[in-house]
Amino acid sequence: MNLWKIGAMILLSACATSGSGEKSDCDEMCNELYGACDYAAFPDKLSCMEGCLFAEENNADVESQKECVLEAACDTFAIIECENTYGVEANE
Amino acid sequence: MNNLISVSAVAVLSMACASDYEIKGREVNVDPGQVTDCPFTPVPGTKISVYDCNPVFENDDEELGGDVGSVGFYATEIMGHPFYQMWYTTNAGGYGDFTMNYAVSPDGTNWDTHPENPLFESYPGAWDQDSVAGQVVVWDPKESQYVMSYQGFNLNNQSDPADDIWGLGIATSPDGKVWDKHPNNPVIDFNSSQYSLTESESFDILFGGTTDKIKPCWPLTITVTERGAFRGYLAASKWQDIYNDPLGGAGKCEVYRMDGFDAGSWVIDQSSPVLAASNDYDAQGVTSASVVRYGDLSYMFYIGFEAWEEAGVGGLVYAVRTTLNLATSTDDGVTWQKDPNNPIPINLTSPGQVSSIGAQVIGTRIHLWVGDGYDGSSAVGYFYYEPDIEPHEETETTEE
Repeated sequence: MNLWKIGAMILLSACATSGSGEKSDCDEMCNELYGACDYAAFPDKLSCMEGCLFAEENNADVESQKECVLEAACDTFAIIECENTYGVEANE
Repeated sequence: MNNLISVSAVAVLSMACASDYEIKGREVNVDPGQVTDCPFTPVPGTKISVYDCNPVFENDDEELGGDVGSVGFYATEIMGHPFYQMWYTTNAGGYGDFTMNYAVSPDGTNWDTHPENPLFESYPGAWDQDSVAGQVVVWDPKESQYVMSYQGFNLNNQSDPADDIWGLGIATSPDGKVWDKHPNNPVIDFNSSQYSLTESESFDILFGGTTDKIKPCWPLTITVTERGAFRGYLAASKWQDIYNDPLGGAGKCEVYRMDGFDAGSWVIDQSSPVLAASNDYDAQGVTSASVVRYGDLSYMFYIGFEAWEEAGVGGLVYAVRTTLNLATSTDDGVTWQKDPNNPIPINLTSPGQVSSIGAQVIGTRIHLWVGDGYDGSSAVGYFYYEPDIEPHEETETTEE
């Protein structure tokens, strides 16, 4: 991961932290998908965060999805299953 | 100088995290060229852009035997960001030697094959033991499962066509890996009495009688409608036309609509084709099609073919001079209008050898996977179509 990517993630993480200092589910999930897994699907972390917050507004079970994504440990096949189980379409 | 940078960074961080700055959720719309290794180039005179580093998949890291055969695509959007899935067959040669396999990609161009491939392979004695091909995969949100439609057959005694089993197969999977074939397969039996003529019917036509019966050529595609039902299309010929052809041809494989109450119960509307073989580019019909809905319109991308050619053995014929074409529908796929600019000029050879098409809406684009001949072998290229734009100018060359 290059320095610019680390810097951008710190910046966005700082902004996505709630008042109590707890990180949001979206922030943790995007750190995993964009940061740890380094998936090309996400052009930047902001895009991931915006998509995640939009999903949350549309009844996705983001907390469960985050747990599922973290457990998947960058197994792309498993991460797709997490979306199918907890994402927007699963909760429509 | 370093101090200046540090001070600036702290200032930026402070400003960025001030209480009036907040990330808002929004529907993301990723430009594919932003996440792929190579850019996409607009095709002049069309709304299509082509990936510069096509083809996008070869399975040479697996020892499955044979080239990539049929390919079915589906993209799952993870918080609005497409992750691509591909189910592909390989065939080491001859009937009954196929495997079905699975791969995923975060950008549509770099693929990870599943470590447990093949997912399934030919099962001796099954109705589809000799071939599974032309697979199309959709996600059924009502049942939370993938649904795969495919053409299967079992030639049994290969010298006797009377014992052939041939039709539309359905398989379902909750995870894309473990597939259950439908207990009623083939869910449409192409050899059933509904789609074949009795001796008396044949005799009657020879002496001037008429019939509305159709003879299926092959399944084309299935979709899940907004109401959660299934709609599909298959290519078929009118028995009447086959009998009336003075040259004894194979007939035109025109597009007919079929509707499914569920994935296992289908009814074909045999009354008339929804897309007739009426232009030079589809003079003999359609070999492959994919249907998507975007806004108020349905889009059918289809491979039209101009002629049949004899394979040289056993009187077999195959479709030649193939091109990609487009039709649109304003009534949810009941009637279709062909695009006046057909065919879409993306075929790599002339005459065209385009073999398959898969399409899916992602954001404001329709992503397309087009099978074509790359250096003498069949492979899949990646494209996208932008419904909302004007056709690309002739002078445009590169997209930023």
